[in-house]
Amino acid sequence: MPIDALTDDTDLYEAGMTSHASVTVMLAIEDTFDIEFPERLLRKATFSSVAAIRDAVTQLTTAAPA
Amino acid sequence: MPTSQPAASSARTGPSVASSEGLSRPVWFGDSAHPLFGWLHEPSETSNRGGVVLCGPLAKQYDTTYYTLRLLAEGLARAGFSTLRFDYRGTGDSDGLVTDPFTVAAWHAGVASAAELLDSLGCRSVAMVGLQVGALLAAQGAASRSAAGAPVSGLVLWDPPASGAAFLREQRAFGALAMGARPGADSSFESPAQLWTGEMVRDLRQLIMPTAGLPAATLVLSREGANLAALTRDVAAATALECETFTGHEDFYEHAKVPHAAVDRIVDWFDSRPSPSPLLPLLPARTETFADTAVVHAEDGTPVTERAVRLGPNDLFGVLSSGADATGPTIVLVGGYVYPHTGPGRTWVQLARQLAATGHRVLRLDLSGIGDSGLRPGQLPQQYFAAEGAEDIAHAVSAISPTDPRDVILVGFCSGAYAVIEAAAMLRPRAVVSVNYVPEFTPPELVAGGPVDERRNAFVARPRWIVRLRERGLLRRLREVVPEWGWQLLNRLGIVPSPTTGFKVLLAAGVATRALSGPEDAELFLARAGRQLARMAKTAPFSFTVLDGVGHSVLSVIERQAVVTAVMREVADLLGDGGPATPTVDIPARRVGGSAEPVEAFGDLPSGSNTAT
Repeated sequence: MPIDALTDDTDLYEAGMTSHASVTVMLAIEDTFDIEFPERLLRKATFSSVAAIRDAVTQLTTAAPA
Repeated sequence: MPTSQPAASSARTGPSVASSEGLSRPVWFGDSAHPLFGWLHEPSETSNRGGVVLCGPLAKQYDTTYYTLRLLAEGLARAGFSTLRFDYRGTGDSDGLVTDPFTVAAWHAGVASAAELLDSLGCRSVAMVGLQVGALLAAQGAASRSAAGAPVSGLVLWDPPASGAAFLREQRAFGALAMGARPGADSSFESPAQLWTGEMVRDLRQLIMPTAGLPAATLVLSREGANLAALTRDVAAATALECETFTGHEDFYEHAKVPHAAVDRIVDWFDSRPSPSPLLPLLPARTETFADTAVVHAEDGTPVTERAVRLGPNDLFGVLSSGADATGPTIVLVGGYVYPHTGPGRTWVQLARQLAATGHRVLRLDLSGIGDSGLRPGQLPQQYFAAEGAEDIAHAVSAISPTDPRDVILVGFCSGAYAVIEAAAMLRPRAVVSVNYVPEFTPPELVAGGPVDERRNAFVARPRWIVRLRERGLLRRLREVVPEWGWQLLNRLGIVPSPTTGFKVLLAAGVATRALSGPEDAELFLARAGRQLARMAKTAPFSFTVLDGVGHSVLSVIERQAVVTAVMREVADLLGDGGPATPTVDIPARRVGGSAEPVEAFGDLPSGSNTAT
């Protein structure tokens, strides 16, 4: 699927994203935002769309410090 | 069916293969109580420019990078370097289990043993190449040799993780996202095709890239986008560092696509380095008789003898396993996709050793162009569902069972099951066991724009509209709405062939057939031919068993154990010699056209095998 055709809600797995690619995305996001996805977010659903990824990152970057 | 006659040769011992690329030979080395298996690739010249140890990756990447590391070793040998690629303890063809204690320490010891083997062959210098976690092990091996006064001459870190902890983090994510795996209380976890025990996790977390004792020159070949700034900064303080990137790591790790540019770059890097002067003649490597047999151990500790063999006119490679007083037909295991003879996630090794421990003789076979087997003239490497697969099996069977080639049981996984079915149609063996057989596929010759190979008897061609529906994700919906009689009507009208075509070919040839499939692979059969399968089970030497919880790629420990146990059960049943000895875990299985029955897995499941599938 051409990247221009992706919307925020497009299912990235159906668009051809492999589990390997989703891990690559996860590691790149962790590096960029200096965050670490906790165990509860290590699920396919977290990386299933741009919107889902954005929600997860927002959640992690706005979480109150422990 | 037109086909060439199997060669009337027998298995050859001392299975070296000489070619213009040099000499390749399997070797057993290291601790004789727990031998390691490797391949030694030597230059075609009578002297060498040094030795290179290849330290490979683990998990699913063991399977998908196997052929690439073979090509790299052959390229280095062509450039004048004696090159050893090998399996760490508890991996590949080497002895042991990953659940053995002190596994990571044994991996370090294995790297040292590999380098010592090259020393013993007269290599003036030894260098190391490590891929993924193998890069960390290679770097540690280099530092250890330096500390012992024998520094390595060069080091290539190919896609190195920043540390053992970073490597585990990535594997943990793979396990969670690809398998839904969750860590155990002892931090153990699974990633595709690999169990990481709590002890391994603890030891790998401590694994770091050394910053002392590195050679004068190091090449880092990292994947695009990798963040290795800290690692390269630290390592650069200890060595002249060249940092480059390579492309295509996802196709490499996911689809076994050879990254030729990276392979060529590594060979060129070594080739451009100054050679020792004068070149040192190779010591007795060419004439020395390496042991081609070793005693390894089944999961329950029973000793098993394994022999590396070359078979037939196309230099097929296989490993023969046998226990004491092996009797009965030889059981031939043929893998699927581009998996080498070790099988997906080492399933074939576990199965072969367990079968050998119970008195059988087992061959794990690489089809031509896959794993360590040769290529036929004009054949492309790593082609699965290749039409040549059936002839390969016929050649191998003629070599290992020359007096009665029919006295074999053929076991095939995925595309290997297809090859086994085609072979059985002409060989008429005692039985066939298929695992996760995929009857519908696009043959490589069709992909290349040619006609379907006329040697195919069991091929189930898919009409274009079926392919298009599948590409659009609508085929499953179609299966749900079209009843079985509808599919049978389409079959009778010649519009959609039945998925049972291969089984019918076997039954017409009088071959006892046992089909084992996980639910994902069984769905196509059950939706389109469930009643037909049940009828076949009642009227012919045939059974179709659904192994609940087993996915196509058998990524988890419990799935692999289910397959091992189910195949052992079928073999025992076919030979009438009872079932597995120590069942402790029931895995639900449903026999189509028969009563439900549990399939027992061997031994206690190791911690960390709590995969949600």
